[in-house]
Amino acid sequence: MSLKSSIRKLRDEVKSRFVGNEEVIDIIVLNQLHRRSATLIRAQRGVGKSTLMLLMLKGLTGDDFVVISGASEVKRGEVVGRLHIPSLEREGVERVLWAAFVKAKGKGIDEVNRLNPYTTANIHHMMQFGEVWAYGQRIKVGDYVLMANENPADPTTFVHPPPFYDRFDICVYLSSLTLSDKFRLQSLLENYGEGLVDSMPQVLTFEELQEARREVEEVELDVEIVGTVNMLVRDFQACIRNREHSEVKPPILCEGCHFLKDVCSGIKDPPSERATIVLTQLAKAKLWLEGKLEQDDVFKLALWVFPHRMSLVKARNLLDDLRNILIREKVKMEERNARRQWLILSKLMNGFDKGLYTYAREVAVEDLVFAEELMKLEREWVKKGVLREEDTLGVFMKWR
Amino acid sequence: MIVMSRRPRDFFKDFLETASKKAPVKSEDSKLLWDYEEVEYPERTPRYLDSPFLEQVISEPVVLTARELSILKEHIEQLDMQVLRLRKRNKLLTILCLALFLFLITVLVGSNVGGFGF
Repeated sequence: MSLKSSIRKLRDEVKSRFVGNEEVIDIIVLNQLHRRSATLIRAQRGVGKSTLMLLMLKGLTGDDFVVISGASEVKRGEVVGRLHIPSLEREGVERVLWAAFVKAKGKGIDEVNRLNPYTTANIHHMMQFGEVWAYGQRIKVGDYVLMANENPADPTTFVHPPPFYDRFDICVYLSSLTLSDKFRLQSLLENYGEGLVDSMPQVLTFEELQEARREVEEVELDVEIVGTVNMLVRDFQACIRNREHSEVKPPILCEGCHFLKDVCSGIKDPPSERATIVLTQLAKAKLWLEGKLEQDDVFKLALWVFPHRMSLVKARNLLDDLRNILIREKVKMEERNARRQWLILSKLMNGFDKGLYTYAREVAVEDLVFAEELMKLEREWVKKGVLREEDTLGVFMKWR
Repeated sequence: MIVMSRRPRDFFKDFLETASKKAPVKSEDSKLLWDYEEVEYPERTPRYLDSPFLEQVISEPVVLTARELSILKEHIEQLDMQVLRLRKRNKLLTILCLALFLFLITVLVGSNVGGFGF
């Protein structure tokens, strides 16, 4: 069986055992196609977070997976490693017994929001650097599959820092079952009984998964898709008043700013650069697996890359609000094409032209990201003496 | 040994060129011409709502839809909140100034009358 067929089989096997949330399964499978993948599943209690996590781990690693539970009192020694006491007593040597969680190819974390800060810090370090430390000794962790879940509505003991959540490539939300889905679940449970997860076969070996990951890494994306990914993330990050370093956040920061109704004004904390990397990886995975990738696909993938990486000014329903922002963003990109913005910028990069510059200034007043690029060119023109500092857009709009 | 020096690829330029080809233009007398097709924004408000922020004056009468009206209302509410915040701060600073002024008077009177020495 080819690697692509195996990945499709994995998706089908999980779908045959997990009712509903089909879109979520698709994205989780795509997210496994890059090195040291990390997936976060969020849902209310009893919706199937742990089942989905176990199905994926079993399908990818067979029995070579370890699940630690945040709800139990899991300690650092159980997650990272503990000291081998006999070696210390007899030989005076500090030997570390690395925990099964570190060595296993499949790593599961149940109820990640309940993990204590010390354990979380160790897992954070592992996800960041691919290594763990204990008693002054280090071990490289290598490639793995990490799946975690949490119920954000649960009262938790600890609030984990945003950088920790940022290490998860995607964050998916499961919804409760519709009426017909409940009937499907009952029939499924009748067939499998208690052994639903046990019945899940290991669809591909870990070496095969790594081979698939290597193939995905080599996929070259169309420059237009790369542009969509970069524009999308930049539009979600950019703020003419430098939101990243400002103590006040929107909506206060937006008062008096004429970009008030733009995408930027709805975002309180912007996503990190990691969002670009993950979105690119997912786009490559989709192209590799399905043989085609449209601009719309990037927007669909983005829905699962952003929820845990940014906060919105007014979040009533995070996913719905994010969907609305993505729709607005898509139209904004269409408008950029209609105005020939990138053509104008491309021509201006080749040299100053008064007519084009005048048009570009008009456009820049309504497009923050375009304004940033135009202002970069202005700085060069000022240096060359083509343009006076006081005539630049930044000075005129009081953006500097 | 001959080392081939390869210029790094400028991805941004590549992107700009591709995007430029996607939206063609005609060139006439060193001017660029194209048919502008209005893009429909599902939620975008008309430009006249931006005019106060752009310090523009609208000379023609405008008719607002219910949604635009609610956006205006939201803006006014946000501005009201800002005004309230500033009023509170103003009040606090006035009280602080008064307290300092009274303290100064007390010190001056005290030192002149000689009731207590500083």
